[in-house]
Amino acid sequence: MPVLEEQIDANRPDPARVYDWFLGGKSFFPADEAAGRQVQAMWPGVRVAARANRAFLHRAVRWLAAEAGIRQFVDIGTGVPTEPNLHQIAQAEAPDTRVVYTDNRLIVLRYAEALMTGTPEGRTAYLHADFCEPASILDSAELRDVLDLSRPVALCLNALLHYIADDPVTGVTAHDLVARYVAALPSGSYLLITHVTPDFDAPTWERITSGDRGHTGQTGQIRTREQILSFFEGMELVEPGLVPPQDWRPDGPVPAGATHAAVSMWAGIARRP
Amino acid sequence: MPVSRSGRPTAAQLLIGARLRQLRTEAGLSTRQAAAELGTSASALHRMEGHGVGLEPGRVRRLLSAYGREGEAGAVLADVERASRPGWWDAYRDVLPRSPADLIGLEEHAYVIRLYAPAVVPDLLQTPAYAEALQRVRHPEEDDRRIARRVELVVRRQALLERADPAPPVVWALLEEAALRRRVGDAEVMRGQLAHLRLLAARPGVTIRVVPMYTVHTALLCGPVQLLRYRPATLPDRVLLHTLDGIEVEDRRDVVAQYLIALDSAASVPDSVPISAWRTDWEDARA
Repeated sequence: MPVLEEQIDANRPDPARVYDWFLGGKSFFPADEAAGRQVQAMWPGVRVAARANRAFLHRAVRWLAAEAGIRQFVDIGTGVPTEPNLHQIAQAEAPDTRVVYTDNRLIVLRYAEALMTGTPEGRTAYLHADFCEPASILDSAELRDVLDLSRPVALCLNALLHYIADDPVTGVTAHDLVARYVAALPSGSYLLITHVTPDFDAPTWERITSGDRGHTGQTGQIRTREQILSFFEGMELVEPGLVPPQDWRPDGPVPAGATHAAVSMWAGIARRP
Repeated sequence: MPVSRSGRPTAAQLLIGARLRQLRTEAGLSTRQAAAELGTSASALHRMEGHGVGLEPGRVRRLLSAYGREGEAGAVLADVERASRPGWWDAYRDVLPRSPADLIGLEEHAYVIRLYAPAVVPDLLQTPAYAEALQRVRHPEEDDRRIARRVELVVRRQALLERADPAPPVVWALLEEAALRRRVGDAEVMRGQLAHLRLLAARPGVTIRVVPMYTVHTALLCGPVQLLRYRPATLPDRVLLHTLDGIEVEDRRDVVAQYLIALDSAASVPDSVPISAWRTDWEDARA
């Protein structure tokens, strides 16, 4: 079910703002902090996980820009800006990099427009659209204006897909949606995914998913390694493959407390041949 | 080490304290452990980190060497020294708004400034002519010299938008359409003001959006708001509230959160437009 939100509801936790609380940001409301604490009570590692995931994103984007030579990025489910942002990392490697940020919440786009300023050589664009409507992103004037879809693009689905449940009514699965996006990208493009998983701490995730999570604003579908691997179907995983985010080409010591069970995520990048 | 006239720590002191706290956290030491290194109590260290008080050079050096960051002692001590000197605005004490803190220091140290302007263009975005017209309304009893000093203070505050190092703060302003339609000064002043807003908004890092008259959102229920955000993650946002009596500084978390909600509510109004795209009937009319 595509959702485009405009007006904010301060009484209801919002995943983007709750995530900001996880990261130790400042753009959350009391309801988001309360929800964040509830999640933390069930999943004590969540704040470590958010930081490990963010650090992975930094390393991955740097690798995509510096090693894979990618100059175009699409980031879906941008969330509240957190420095350094994706375009800052990429443009530090290559100032002419172009980035399209999309989110289904208008306020997140307003934040992005106001707080993210790119290089004069590059371009950044902001699009209010929902991941569940691929055409609304892939065919948008904003995206077409900034990106050349005949040249490689990195599609970043960072901590997004576990909010996307397979739709029992329409039969559309998260895999169908990812495949739609990948099909629109030329050979040499990359797909980046980080995703919450029950694989490292089954009892905890059994407890979390069997309870009612509606009040925390953290609903969706967590997936196993097998299920996450199949998002990359037909693509070539980049070394070291699908691993916990803190184990993906680490460039320093793993942050304290970032055990596999605490972080409970898989992260990987694959290339479209 | 002077404190502001209210006895509250100045912005510079808060930032130094926050930096020390960040260095301690990065070194993985608790307040108790670091205090023991210094031969002082945890509460004394807490005051140093919270208010930037009691930062003698010897103490700062000992702390930083305990954190393995001796290399940064020079920079921190230079900040401490700078913080002990009065700010440039001290010379404007006669026309400074009544405020419990060193207001302009708070403004100058912010790296994000969010503004909500329900009725008039905010100080930081005013042209001198607009500022003068407004000051005359506010202080009808004052002579030209005093008014000129007030305008000078407004203009000097705006220098932070022009500075090179540190980079100017990111400015994100929401102006009610009413603030642009209301004629402060005369039509010429307003045309100049509008042109100035468009020029400012063309800079990277300055966003000015106009909230249309027919929309309803939470911020309508308060007056003008200026939210200041600082770089150290440990330093909370502050809100400046402009009243007839002066400027209130709010740093209580629960209160600041209410203003963040109000600002976000105004920011997410679907029909707001960037100032570059905003057009009005009076602009083309000749006064």
